[in-house]
Amino acid sequence: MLLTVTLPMVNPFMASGLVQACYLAPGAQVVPGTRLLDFKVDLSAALSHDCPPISFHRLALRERAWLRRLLVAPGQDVAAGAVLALLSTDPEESLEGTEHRPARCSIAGILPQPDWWAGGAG
Amino acid sequence: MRLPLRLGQIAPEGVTVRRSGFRWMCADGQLCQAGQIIAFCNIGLRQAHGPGRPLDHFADERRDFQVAIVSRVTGRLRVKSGGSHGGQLDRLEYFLAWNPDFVLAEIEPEGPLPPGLHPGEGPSSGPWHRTLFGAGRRFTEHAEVRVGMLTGWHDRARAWWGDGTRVDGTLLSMGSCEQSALVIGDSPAFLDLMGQVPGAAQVISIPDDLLVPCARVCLEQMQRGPAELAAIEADLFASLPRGHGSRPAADWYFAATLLAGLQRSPITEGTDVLVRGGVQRVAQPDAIMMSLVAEPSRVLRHRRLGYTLSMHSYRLGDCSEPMRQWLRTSFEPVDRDTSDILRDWRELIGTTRQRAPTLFLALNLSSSSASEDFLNYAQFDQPMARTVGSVRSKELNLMLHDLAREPGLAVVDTDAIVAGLGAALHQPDGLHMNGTMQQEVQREILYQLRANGVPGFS
Repeated sequence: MLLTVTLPMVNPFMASGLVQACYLAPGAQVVPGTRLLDFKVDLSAALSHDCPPISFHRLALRERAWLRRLLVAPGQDVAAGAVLALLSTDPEESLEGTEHRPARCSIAGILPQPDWWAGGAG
Repeated sequence: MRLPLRLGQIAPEGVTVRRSGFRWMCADGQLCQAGQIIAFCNIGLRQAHGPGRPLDHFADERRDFQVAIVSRVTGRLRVKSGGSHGGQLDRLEYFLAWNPDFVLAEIEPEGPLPPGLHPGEGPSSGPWHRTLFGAGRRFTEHAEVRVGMLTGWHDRARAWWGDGTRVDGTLLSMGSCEQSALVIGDSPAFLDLMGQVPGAAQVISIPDDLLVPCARVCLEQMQRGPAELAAIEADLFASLPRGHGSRPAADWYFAATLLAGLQRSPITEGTDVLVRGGVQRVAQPDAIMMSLVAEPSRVLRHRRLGYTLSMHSYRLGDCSEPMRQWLRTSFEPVDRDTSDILRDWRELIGTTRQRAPTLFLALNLSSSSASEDFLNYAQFDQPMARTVGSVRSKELNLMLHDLAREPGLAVVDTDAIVAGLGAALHQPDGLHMNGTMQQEVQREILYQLRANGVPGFS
């Protein structure tokens, strides 16, 4: 079974997310709780006000699988709903298979320390 | 039956009051509600004798010193002539004399009159309005925005009821934008909050432009002496980038706003209020409201002078690169855990209460997040409060709960309020509130002030 991870809509106004950190390389086994990546949602352009709506999030897996392809890298701006990664329940499974479903993921709001000097939220 | 809204005496002997024309908030023939602002004007206070110099008391607020007429009666407004002249004559305070006998308007009551008041003559025949003063201290005097009541860029805005012979109690609110919005409310001159205060009270709001009033910053403001200030000023003038930025004026505004914040101490600076008994000095607020929202997980500390700078990091986005570089080289980031913030709050409360028995009100954090759905904490390193926003919020709320067992602190539990109302609708980003939630939190603030016996609010 192939599993896809897409960039979740954490806010109804969100158009994209900026990938800030990737924690895994292809071939890695994931278990519930394994972190995949951090991303930043910046709504300043669409909802500009003095207290800009910028938030930071961590995407983690909630099931056992193998990461087969990571389609994004830090610094990349990704459209909401775009595919971020491909996983499979069998490490040797062909990626050409048609049977797939969304991977079970979880989202956490994280503190934006690494971005402080760049003028992010906080 | 028509009840006259007579301006009444607002200044003591020896003081002349000049005023602008009134700007109407309720039109002739409209039904106005009890507690509604009917009209407001700018006023100026001058010495009655000699050359008529402005009073020293309100020198730094003289351009945004206003008075509002708040109806005590629900009824149909009948405007009298001569109260308003339109244009700039209704904005500039020196064209007209404040005549205490002048009848601004009349009200044809609809519904019961306030208890204890009767139409006719005598001490029970009014006044039919309350007098609400507003005063704004501008960040810079050329920030001229006289479009409404307490409009403009103020480093301190305040309002108080001036009907009595004194103001009994003062609430000082220092916080970031969501707290300022909460106190200022949706009506002019803090009326959402002030309208629920029957007593003689003053409310002061200090914004977060540019310093964010966390406990450490407020404490240092209280303790900073002239020598330290001079050193900060000298360092700032010597270190500021010159001529390298594409927007030097914006950088100078940034630096000037920063310096202005470092120079003042809202807790200790005191305020003057105008009441029927004269000008009263309020040395220190009776209650101070702050918020955990204003406690960042990271502050900046000046590498050489040691003072703390707390500001929203998004402000950096408006700075030029040379200014950001100056901040990077002059300051070091200092990460703060719950224990550091606890120490700062305890020290601030203790230092403040050595001067007077001030009550601190603390707004806690909304600790749930609509965008979170994680079930497994294994993905986070310890201590988790350094990474996960909701865990940090819960830890800080618990800290506040423990601290409230000590004297001088009461918690305004916004976390419980939003949990009861529903975060998605009432505080969708966990920070900014809608009107319903603002009203609920305002009610809780007033409840805490009353329950803790803060004068003026009881």
